[in-house]
Amino acid sequence: MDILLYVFAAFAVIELLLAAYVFVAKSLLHAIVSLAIVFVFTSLLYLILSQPLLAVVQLLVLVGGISTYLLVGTASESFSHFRHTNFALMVILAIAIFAIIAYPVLKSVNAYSPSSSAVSFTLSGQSQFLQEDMPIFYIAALLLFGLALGAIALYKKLGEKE
Amino acid sequence: MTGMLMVFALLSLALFSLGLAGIVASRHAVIVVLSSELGLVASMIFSLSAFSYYSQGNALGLLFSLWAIMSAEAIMLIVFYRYLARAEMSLDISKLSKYRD
Repeated sequence: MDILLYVFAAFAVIELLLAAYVFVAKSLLHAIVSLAIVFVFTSLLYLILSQPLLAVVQLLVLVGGISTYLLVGTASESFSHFRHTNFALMVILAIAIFAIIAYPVLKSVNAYSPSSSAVSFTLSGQSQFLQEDMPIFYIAALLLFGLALGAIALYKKLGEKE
Repeated sequence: MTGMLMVFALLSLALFSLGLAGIVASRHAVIVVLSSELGLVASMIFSLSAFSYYSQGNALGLLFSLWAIMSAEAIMLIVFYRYLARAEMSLDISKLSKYRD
């Protein structure tokens, strides 16, 4: 439980920093790549919650879904370099919103009792397969994502030459 | 709430706050869409953690909440598209720079 908590804390800190970087990054492409990594960490959080099926679904949806944003990011790369977010206003708003919505949650500590054990949303007969081959899904997703980034880098290089 | 569920809930609320604040504070159309994605991912984490800790194996509630989140995403994008179209903004991808004005 303690190790899981430390792993979760590390993932949570990285995820929040990357989420904040989406608004700091001047390049739209960097913001989109940052969001994609946020999605990967979300998928890892699902694994901590013992939900391997949803983790894989999230990972595959990420690969497909984020490609749309990569397309837009690449298309608008040359004229998206401007300060798009008022960061001070965003930080103040984020803290205020968090304080308002987190208050009821913090207030309800120990108000509910959880079920005896965490329930895993897996299809019968497939959960074992998913758990054993989970690293393959992550490697495949990273390879596909790396391919997309490589294509963008090549595209930019060709654009510079022209 | 138990400790682990509490930290999951706080993380998802923090992500949701960042997303909502990003929608208000950003003036780039694509960043606004990315912010809304952040909010939707936060909703997914919250519903999944609640399901993991409170459900007795009935996945109907989780499936309904996932369906609602996906529908919210689709509705949000349609509303955003309608807003851009009504404001007579060009939806030509090569003219995205006009959005900064």
